[in-house]
Amino acid sequence: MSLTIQKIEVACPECGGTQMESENFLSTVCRGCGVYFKSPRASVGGRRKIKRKNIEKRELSCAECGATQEVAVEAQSSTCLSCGRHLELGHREILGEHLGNISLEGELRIGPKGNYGGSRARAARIILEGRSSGFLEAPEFLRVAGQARIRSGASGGHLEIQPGAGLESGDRLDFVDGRIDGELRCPVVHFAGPLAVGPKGSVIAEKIHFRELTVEPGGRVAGWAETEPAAANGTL
Amino acid sequence: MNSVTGAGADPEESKMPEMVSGTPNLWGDVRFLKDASLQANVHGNVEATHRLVLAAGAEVAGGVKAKELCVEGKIKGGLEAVGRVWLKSGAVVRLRCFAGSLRIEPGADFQGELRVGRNLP
Repeated sequence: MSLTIQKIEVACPECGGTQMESENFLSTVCRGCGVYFKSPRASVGGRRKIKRKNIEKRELSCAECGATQEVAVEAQSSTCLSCGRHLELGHREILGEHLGNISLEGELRIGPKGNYGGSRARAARIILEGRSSGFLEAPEFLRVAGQARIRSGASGGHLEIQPGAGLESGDRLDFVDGRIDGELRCPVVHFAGPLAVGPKGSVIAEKIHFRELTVEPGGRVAGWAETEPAAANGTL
Repeated sequence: MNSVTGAGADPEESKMPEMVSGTPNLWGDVRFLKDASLQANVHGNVEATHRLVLAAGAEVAGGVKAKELCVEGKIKGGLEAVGRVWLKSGAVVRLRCFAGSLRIEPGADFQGELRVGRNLP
C-alpha cells in the first residue's frame, strides 16, 4: 500500500505563478519563470540544524603544489583544494620487505625488521627502526629509534636520533634542523638551521654543514665542518 | 688579570705594540697565565692556561690554545681547548676547532676540521 503524499499550492516569489508541491518540500524551481526558490519553512529554520561538536583539525600541505589546507585529524584521505591531487592521509607500517614507492601525508613506520626496497618513500613523518634502500623524504620529521640504515639518503624537516639509536647513511642527508642523542654516520650531512648533539650523541661525517651548533659536554663530533654562508662576517 | 709574556719573537724584528685605531699589533707568540681578554692583533700563536676571550676586532694569525675559549674575533690558525669553546656571532675561525664542548652561534663563520669530545674514532 503506497503512502499518499499531501500536496500544497505554492506561489513563486518572482512571477507569482502557482504550482503544486509536496507539503514537505524545501526548495523547487518555478515552472513558469524558472527561478529557484526555497520553502518558507526552510528559510526560517524550519529544518532543524544539527549541532556538530568541534572537529579537531590539523594543517596539511600538499606534496605536489605545497598549498596548505585544514583537514580533520581523523581524516584518512582528502583532495588538495589547489591542484586537485588525491592526498593519502593515513598511516602505514613496514614490518618486512616492501617494494614500490610510497607517498603519504600521514606517518610511515619502518619497523626493526622492516626493509623498504622502493626507490622513494615520502611521508609527513617517518619513524625508522630498520632499513631503507630508497630515498626517504619527511617534511615534518625523520625519527630514528633503532639501529637503522639508509642507502640513498634522506631529507626533511627535523632529524631526530634517539638515545641508544643509530643511523648509518650511504648518501647525503639534508634537513632543516637536527637533534642527535644517538649515533649518526654519513658522508655528508647538511642542516639549514641548528644542530644539537646531546651528551650521548655523536656525529661522524666527512662533511657537516649547519647554521648553528651546540655540542653538549659528552657529545662528540668529527669531520670537516662549515657554517652556512650567511652575510659575510669577514674574510681571512 | 692579563699577563702577557712574549715568546718566540725575533729580537731584531720585534716591535713595541702599536696603537692603530685602538687595536695594538703584537709580533711573536703570546702566553696568558690567568683568565684573559685579548684585544690585539697577534702575528703569532696564543696560549692561555685558563679562560681566554678573543674580543671583537682582535685577530690571531697563528693558532690559539686555551683551557676555555670565547671567540668574538678572528683566528686563522685554528684553535684547541680542553674545555668549552664558544664562537659568538661575528667570530671567524679557520683550519680547525678541537674542543671539549662547543657552541657555534648563528652568524659565526667556521671552516675546518672539527673534533669535539674525547676518544673519537
